[in-house]
Amino acid sequence: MSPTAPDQLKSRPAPGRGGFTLFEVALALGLVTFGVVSTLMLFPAGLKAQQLARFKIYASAKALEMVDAYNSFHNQNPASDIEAPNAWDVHTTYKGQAPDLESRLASYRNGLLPLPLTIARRLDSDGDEIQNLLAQGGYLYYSQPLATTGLNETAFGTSIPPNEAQRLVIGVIGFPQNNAIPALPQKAWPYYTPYPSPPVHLQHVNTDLGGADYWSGPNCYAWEPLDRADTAMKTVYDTYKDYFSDQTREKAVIYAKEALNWNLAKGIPLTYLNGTDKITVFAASPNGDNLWQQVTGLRMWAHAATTAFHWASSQPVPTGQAAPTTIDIAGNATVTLSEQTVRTIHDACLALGMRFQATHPFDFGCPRPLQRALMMDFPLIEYDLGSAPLEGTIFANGARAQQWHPVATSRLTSLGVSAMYPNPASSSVGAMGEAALGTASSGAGAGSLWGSDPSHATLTASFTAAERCRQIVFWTADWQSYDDFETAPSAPVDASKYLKGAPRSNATFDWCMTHPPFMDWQQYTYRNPEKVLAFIASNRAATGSNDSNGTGVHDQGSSRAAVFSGLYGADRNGNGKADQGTVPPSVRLRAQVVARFNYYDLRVPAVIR
Amino acid sequence: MNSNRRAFTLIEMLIAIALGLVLIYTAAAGLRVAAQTVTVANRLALENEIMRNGFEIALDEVDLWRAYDEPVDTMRQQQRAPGGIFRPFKSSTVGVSTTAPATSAMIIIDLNNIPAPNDSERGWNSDYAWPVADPRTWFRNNMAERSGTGLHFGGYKRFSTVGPADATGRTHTWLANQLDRLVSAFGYYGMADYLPAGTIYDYAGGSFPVTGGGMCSLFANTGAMNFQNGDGGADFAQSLYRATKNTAFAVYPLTAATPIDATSAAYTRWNVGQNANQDSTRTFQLVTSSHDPVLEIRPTTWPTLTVSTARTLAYNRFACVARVHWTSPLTGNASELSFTCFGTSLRGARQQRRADAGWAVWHNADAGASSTNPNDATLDNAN
Repeated sequence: MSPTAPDQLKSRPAPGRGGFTLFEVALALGLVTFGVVSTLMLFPAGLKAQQLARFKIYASAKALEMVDAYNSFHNQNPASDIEAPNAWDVHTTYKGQAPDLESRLASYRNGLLPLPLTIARRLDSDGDEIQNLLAQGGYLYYSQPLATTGLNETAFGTSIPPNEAQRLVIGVIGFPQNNAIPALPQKAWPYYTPYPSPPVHLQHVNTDLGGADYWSGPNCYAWEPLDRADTAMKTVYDTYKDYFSDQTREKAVIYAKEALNWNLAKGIPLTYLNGTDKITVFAASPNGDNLWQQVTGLRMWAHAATTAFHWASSQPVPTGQAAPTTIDIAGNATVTLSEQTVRTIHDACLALGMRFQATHPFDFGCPRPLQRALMMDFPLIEYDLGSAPLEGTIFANGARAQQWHPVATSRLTSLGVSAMYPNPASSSVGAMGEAALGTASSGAGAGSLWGSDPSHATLTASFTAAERCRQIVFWTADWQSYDDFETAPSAPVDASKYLKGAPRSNATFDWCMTHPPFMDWQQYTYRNPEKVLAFIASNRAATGSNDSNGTGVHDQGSSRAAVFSGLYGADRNGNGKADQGTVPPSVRLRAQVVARFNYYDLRVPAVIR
Repeated sequence: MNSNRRAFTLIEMLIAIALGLVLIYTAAAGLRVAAQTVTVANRLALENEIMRNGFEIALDEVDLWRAYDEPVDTMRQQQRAPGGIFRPFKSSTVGVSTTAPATSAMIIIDLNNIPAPNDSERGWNSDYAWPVADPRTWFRNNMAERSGTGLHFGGYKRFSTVGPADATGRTHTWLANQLDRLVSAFGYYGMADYLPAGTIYDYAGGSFPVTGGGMCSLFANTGAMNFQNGDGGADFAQSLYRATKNTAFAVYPLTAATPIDATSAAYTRWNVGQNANQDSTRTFQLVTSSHDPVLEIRPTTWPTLTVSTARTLAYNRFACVARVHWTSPLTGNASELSFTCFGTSLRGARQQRRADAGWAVWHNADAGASSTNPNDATLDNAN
C-alpha cells in the first residue's frame, strides 16, 4: 500500500539534513573513479610522449647518417665486371648501383638492412602503411648495429650495447626512377685515361676475353678501341709498344713520328702540333666534326713528343760536345722539338682535353682526363619504357632474357666499341662492336641497341615534386622482442645483388656464377645486405663476417645459396650470439610513426664536401 | 522510533563499505601506478634530456671541432703548433717536406688581383673554387712514372714541379706547391680535406733535369711514412679511393682515449681496411675518438654520459662518427646512439676561427677587402 500524501510529507527529512540516496552515492563514486582513472591514464601518455621524443632523436640521427652515407660512400664497386655484350649479362645497371637511396644504402657497409619479411608482416601501422609498402614490393629496414664508419666491418668486434637506432624500423615511401641507369652496360662510360698518354686505355686486359682479338699481347693494356678500321692508330700503338719494350732514342723517335703522322693524316693543322702556337681552342676541321680526333691526336702526340725529347738530354754525349737541345721528327712535315715546343704541345694537349670534357659530355670520342674527373662525365641515360624491349638469351645458359633499350637525353656520338668487348659479332662471347652500339650508319643491327624515340628520355624533363620526391618514414616497433628476431631468414635478397661474372671465352654459366670472387672491400653494394651478420650454419655458431680472404667462401656459388640468402638468420643486434626474444610470432605489434623526411634521389655521382 | 534517525540497513552498510573499498583500492592502485609512472617518466625525461644534450654536444662537435682546437681557450690549442692542423697558414713553414723553399709560408691568394692564370702564386683562398678551366689546377705529371725508376716517357718535371718557376721555363708550379704546402702543414688528412674531389695526389719532386723517377717521395710508396699504401705494388700517382682502400688517415683530438703525438701521426697510415683485425681497429678508434667527459659533477642518481667523435678518411669517405653513450646508475643499463653525419670540413673549421683567438665573425656579402665591415681574418687568410 502506498503512503498517502500527508504520510509522505510527514516522513520527509527536515530541510538541510537529508542524506544522499545510495544511487546518488554510487553515481558520485563512479564519477570520482572515472575522473581518477582518466587522470591516471594521462601518466602513461606522458611516458609515451617521453619515449616518442627519444625516438625522434634516434630518427634524426639515423636520417643524418643515411644522407651522409648516400652522398659520401664511393659509389663504384671496383672489382666487379661492368660491361657485357648484353645488359642482362652484367649486374651494374641493376639495383646495386642504381640512383636510388634505398637500394644503395641496403648494404652491410651503408647502414640499412632489410628487416626479415616474416617479422615485417607482423607490424601494424596507421593506415596500414607498412603492409601497403610491403605489398608494393618494398622493404622495411633496420639500422645496422654499428655506425657506418667506412672502416672494415669484418674487423669490428661485437656491438655492446647495440645502437639505439636499432629500435626503429625504416621505410621509403615513393618510387625511384628505376629506369635511370648509372652506366651503359654495353659500354660503361665514362672511360678515363691520363692526359697525355699513348693510344692505350687503362683497362686491364683479361686474357679470358680472347686476347687474340686485341692488338696487344696478353697481360698488357688494350689500345683504345674507338675505330677498328683506323689501322693508322694500330701503327702508333705498335711503335709505342715497341718503345716500351726497348727504350732507345731511335724507337722513341719512331713512336713520335707515327703519332705526328696520325695527326697530320686527320687534318689537324701543323700549327697545332709544332709547338709554335699556344693552343686553347679547337681547329676548324677540314674533315668535318673531328674534335675528338684533335683531342686524341694531341694526347698521343704530346706523350710521344715528350718521350722523344727526353732523349735529347739523356742520350750519351760524345766527349767534348754539348748535349743536343732539339730532336727532329721527320714526317710529312718536320717538327723540331725543343724544351719550349714540348711544353707548348703539352699545354695544348691538356687545354683541348679539358675543353672537350667540359663541352661535349655526350661525345664518347675520347676518354675523359683521369686527372680531373667531373660529374658531367656521366651522361644521362635511361631505359626506354615506351618501346618493345630487347630480347636474347643469358650467356652460357640459354634462358630467355629481356631488357629495355637505352635512350639518352641527348644524342650520343662517337660511341666506338666497348673496351672489354671490341670483338666482332662472331666472337664466342658476343660482341659490342660498332654496329651493335649504334655507331655504324648502315648494315645489320645498325643502331638497334637504342630506343627508337629519343623523346622517351625523361631525365632532363621538368617534373613536379610529387613525381620524384620520396619520403623516409621512421616507425618505432620493438621488433627485437620477437623470439625469432635473429633466427628469421633474411628478407628476400634482390637477385641482382648477386655478383656474376661477365661473359668470356670458354666460360660456363657456373663459372660466371662463381667469378669474380666476392671481396668485401671492393663490392659492398652487392650480396645479402645482412652478409656480415648472417649466420653461416644452422647451429648459428658463427656469422659470415670472417670473409677476409676475398673468396666469398661462405656465400658464393650454388652450393652456398642458403648462406647467401640468409636462411639461418643473422646476429641482428651484433652482440656475437644468437638471441631470442619473448614475444611469439603470433603476436602482432603496432608500429608508431616517429618522423618523416622528404628527399630526392641523386642522379649522378657527387661527393658533398 | 523517529523516522529521521533511521539507521542504515546492513545491506546498505555492506554496499557502502564495498564501494568505499573499491574507491580506496582504485585510488591506492592509481596512486601507486601514478607514483611509479611519475618516477619512470621523470627518469626517462632526465635520461632523454641527458641523451639529447649528448646528441647536441656531438652535433656541435661535428660542426665546430672543439675537441681539436678551442678558439677561446689557449690551453686547448695544441694543434696550432708546427705540424698541427690548426696552424695559421702564414706560419705553416714547418713540416716533413724537403722541397719547400725557405720562404714557404702559405701566402694567401688575392682574388682581387689575379692575373689569370698566375702560376707563380702560392697559398690558399677559400673563395677560389679551383675551376677546371684554370690551367693551374691541371695535374701535369705522367701518371705511370714511378718513384726512383727510369723515365720511360720523358721527364715530366719540365712541365710541373714544386718550388718556384725557374730559368728552365717550368712555369706550372701552382698545383705542385699547393699539394706540397698542404701536406707539409697539415699532414695527409688535412691535405685531402682541402683538395677537391678527384685530385691526383702526386707531384714531381727533386731537381731538374734528372734521370731518376718523377714522383715525390712523400706520395710514393717508398718508405714507412708516405701517402700511398702500396696497393697493387703501386708507387705512382693514385686517387684518394685507391690510397685509402686498405689504409686510413685521421686527425687526432686533444682528448683521445689513447693520446698520440698528433704531429707525427698526421703522416700515419692506419691499417683498418681489408687486412685489419679487431686489435688494429680498436687501436685506431681509441686514438682517433675524442673522449670528453660530460656532467662530471652530478647527482649520483643521474646517468653517466660520454660523447665521442672521430674524424677519419677511409675508402674515399670522410667519416665523422659520433657516439653518445649513457648508463643508468639505478638499473645499470647502458645505451648508445652511434651515427655518422655531415659535418664541417677541416677547411671550414679553420675558417670558423680567428687567426689570433676566438671565433671569426663573417659578414658575407659585405666582405671585400675594401669593405668597411670586413670578415674577420681566419686561420686560412690572415696575413
